[in-house]
Amino acid sequence: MLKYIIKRILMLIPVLLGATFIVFTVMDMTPGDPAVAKLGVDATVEQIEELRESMGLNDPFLLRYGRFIWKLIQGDLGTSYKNDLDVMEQIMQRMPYTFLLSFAALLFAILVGVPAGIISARRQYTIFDNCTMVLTLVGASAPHFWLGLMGVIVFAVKLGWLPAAYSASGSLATGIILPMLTLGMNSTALVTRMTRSAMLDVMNQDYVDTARAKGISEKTVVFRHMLRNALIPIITVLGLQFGSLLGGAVTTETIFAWPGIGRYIVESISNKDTPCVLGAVVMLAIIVTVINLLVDIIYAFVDPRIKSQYKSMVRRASKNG
Amino acid sequence: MENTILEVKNLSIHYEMREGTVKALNGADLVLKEGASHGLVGETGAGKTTLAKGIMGLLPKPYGKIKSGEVLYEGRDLLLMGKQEMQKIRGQHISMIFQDPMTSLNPVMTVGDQIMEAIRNHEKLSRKDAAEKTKVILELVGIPYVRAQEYPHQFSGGMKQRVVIAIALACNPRILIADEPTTALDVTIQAQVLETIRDLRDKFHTSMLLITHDLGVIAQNCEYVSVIYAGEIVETGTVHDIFGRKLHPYTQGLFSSIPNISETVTRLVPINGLMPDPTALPEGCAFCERCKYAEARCSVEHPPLYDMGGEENVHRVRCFRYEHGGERV
Repeated sequence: MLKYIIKRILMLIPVLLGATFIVFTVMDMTPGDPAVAKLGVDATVEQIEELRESMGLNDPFLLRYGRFIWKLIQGDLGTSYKNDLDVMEQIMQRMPYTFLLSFAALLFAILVGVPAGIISARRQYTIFDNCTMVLTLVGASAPHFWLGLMGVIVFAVKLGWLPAAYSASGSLATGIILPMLTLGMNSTALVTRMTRSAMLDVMNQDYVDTARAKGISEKTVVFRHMLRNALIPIITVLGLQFGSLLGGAVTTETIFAWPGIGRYIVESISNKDTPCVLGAVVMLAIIVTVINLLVDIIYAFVDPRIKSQYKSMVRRASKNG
Repeated sequence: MENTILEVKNLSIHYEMREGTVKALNGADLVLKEGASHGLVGETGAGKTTLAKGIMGLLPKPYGKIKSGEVLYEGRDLLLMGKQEMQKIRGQHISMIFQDPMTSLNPVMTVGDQIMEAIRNHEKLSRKDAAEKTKVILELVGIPYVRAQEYPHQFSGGMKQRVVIAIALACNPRILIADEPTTALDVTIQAQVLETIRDLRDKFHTSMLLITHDLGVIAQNCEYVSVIYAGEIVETGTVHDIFGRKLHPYTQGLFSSIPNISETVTRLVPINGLMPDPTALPEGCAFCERCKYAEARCSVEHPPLYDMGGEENVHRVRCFRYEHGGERV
């Protein structure tokens, strides 16, 4: 198991190289000059040229990328072009907000999606099931920016129940509701659908009949025998959803002025602040990889068959090595 | 031996689906005597499993519908019982073993827990006492208790079926319904599993309904036999009645399609044709189209069961050929 975990962590290296290379290239090719962004439009050509030289912006592309990677290995994400603040420090300040929002959205998806999926499966083709399926179709396809803006119009502007945006002085509890719903809607819909189909798969299995033939209550049959077997695909979806929640945080945080890492990326992109964007992407890539690894470890606890698979993988590996 | 423990009367079960209604069981009658073993034989799709699931109240929802009939257990109709009452019957009074041991155990629970679940559901026992009882029953089916901590995927097919038997017999039920318990197993393992069932039945005096399409298994394990075809019983009686007299043309067909070791036959005789489509059953005798004795009336008139007397006066057959040789019931 430990060998497997180490192997998975080593996989992070190519992932990070790929992700940073793409972001670095895109940032380099998009128009705009960080030196101009920093000095303002009134700066003279000489001033700008001088700054570009001192920031190393005139060096060849690969040299600049290599320099970034070299620093990254040392754990240094560099400083912002715009205000010379340490990137790592800035990210650490914003990370808790993004985590809070993503976990709230994920929790919402689990608490609503799993029960809705179970009920839908148990009442397949009833009105409840049909309505759920239509709603989840809408929920899964509506983009975050639309959901967010509609939420603001209805609940903040028309009804005045909830704040339209985060403010440091306002209550976090009410401030998080709209962003959480906006961010969590897609995941909730997907979790509902996945729970439903996983439950439907499991419902007709022979071992469910065996369990019923023991005379145990229907509740025990559903939770102990059906749900535990349906968990694997549900956990897979949840793990994948966490990655897309972090991605969705970019638009959601921008709409609701949420002080997390998504909004930080958007601001940094408009400032051509490459170190900040790269730093944030590196952090997100690490988090997504770690979450996926956690999901794989959880599998082993949920399903004994996977556990013995891991074990035999390690046995084979140690025989060969 | 003479007391009836379970009686199925005129049971009809249909599966109502979008594509049409499948008439899986059409007025089936069955009498299970206390302590006896009753074989139910028929080809795939004849309604064997439907009958078993109907008795257990485990028909697939929402399609499976009971159209008529009674299932009397100790004089009480199981079909009229409430959910909770039925939960008390299942496992404790009537247990069932399913066809495929590969899929009938929960893959994410240890086998020990699965047996213990059945015990603790019906008996107020502490974990320790239940574990003790699990140990006893596991060793009765020939599995060492150390393996109780293992999961089903660590067991072979025959071992899994032993676990399924242990679950079914854990609460010492009065009736065991075994739905093709050996079909999915190797021949050598089949014999072992059947022997285990036989030993345990002798020990606990359990009555059994043994569903199979293997006449050899019936001959070895049962005192009574019912032959089912297209959802109805076409012939029923003691093993000697059926194996000795073979009155119904379908029963005769079944016997001539299996090899007989004492006769030299170069070719087996199959029953030509197929069972009628259960969504569109014929008006007359269901076997009529495949029957070499079929007359004009067979295709329009439905034959009743005729009483043929027999060894214990329980031999019945559903065929017009015996109209004058037997008494209509």
